Amino acid sequence: MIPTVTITGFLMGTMIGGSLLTETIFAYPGIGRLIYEAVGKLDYPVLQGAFLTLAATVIVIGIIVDLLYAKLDPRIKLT
Amino acid sequence: MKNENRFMIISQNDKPKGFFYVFFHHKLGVCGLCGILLFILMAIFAPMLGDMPQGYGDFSSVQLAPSAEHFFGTDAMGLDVFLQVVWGARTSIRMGLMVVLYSILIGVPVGLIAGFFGKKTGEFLMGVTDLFLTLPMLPLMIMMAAILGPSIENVALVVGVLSWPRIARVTRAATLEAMGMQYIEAAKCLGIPTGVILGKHVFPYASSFILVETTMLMATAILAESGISFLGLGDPTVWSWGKILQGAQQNGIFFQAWWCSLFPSIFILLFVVSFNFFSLGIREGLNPRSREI
Repeated sequence: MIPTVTITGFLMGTMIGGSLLTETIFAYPGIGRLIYEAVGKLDYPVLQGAFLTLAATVIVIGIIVDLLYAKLDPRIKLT
Repeated sequence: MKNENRFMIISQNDKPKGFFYVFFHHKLGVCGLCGILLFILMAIFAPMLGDMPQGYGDFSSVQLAPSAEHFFGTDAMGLDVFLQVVWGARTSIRMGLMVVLYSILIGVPVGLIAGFFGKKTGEFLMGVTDLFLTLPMLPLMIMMAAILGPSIENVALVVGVLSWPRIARVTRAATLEAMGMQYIEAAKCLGIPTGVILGKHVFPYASSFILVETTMLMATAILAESGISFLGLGDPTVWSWGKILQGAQQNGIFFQAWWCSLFPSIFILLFVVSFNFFSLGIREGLNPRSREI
């Protein structure tokens, strides 16, 4: 269970990357398409904001994964 | 059977099986190798199959369905899709090799140093590696590709610079394993310089693991390149499979002229699958368990 959760955490980055392509093809208004359009116009503030959001999401997911370890395996204690 | 073997007298003929013996008995691995060889041959002999499609094609042959004349049909410009795919193989292989080169140049030294110097240096380097590993890769690649400008070298550089962490992790794991072995300890006691130990004794041990990871990386690199050129940030002067898809999507013929989108996609799929199967075969061949008598 623990390795599964670890990999799921790592996969989040890939998932967001994949959603970028999907959103572009199907014209779905998500953060991926926002990045794509901002890149086309070289709109740096939008890019910065989008990356900050993505980075924050990934970090929060990392924390959640760490907290889940303690729930899943009683031998692991949060200090 | 395994347990009985343990008590058998080992004769001269009972040597462990060689790498090639195991590899060529691994069906998927051989399939992968054949696929890769076909792709390489296709890339080398591309000029013999036809000239590189350029500019505007014949206006009387726009969006033709696959036929004996145009194996994969023609696109909205009247250019032959089969030739585009064939010339795209060149780009893909060149690009994959460059990405592998870049990530080995960065990843292997980082992994060796992180494994050898444990403690603070190692932890710092692995922290950086983890940072790169968790970052959402594709958006970052797209942004860097847009800033650096569209050329095949830049795309390869971007993908390579962002995909070394996997190589670094594998190298570090192998280095840590090697560090526990006595010959490394002996080399240290003899006072051999660290660089020589790393290059001559640790690296050969790690190289087989790096080789497996490298073949997997080729597949990932092609996927990333297709993604980047699909979004229109690739090199506009050469054909790549992602670029054919982008052309199909931009002209709004993604679903009507299915041959424009289907064939490049199938080639991307086959390329990635052959490299993954090939690496499975190598892994099996390098595994001491599968080489037992």
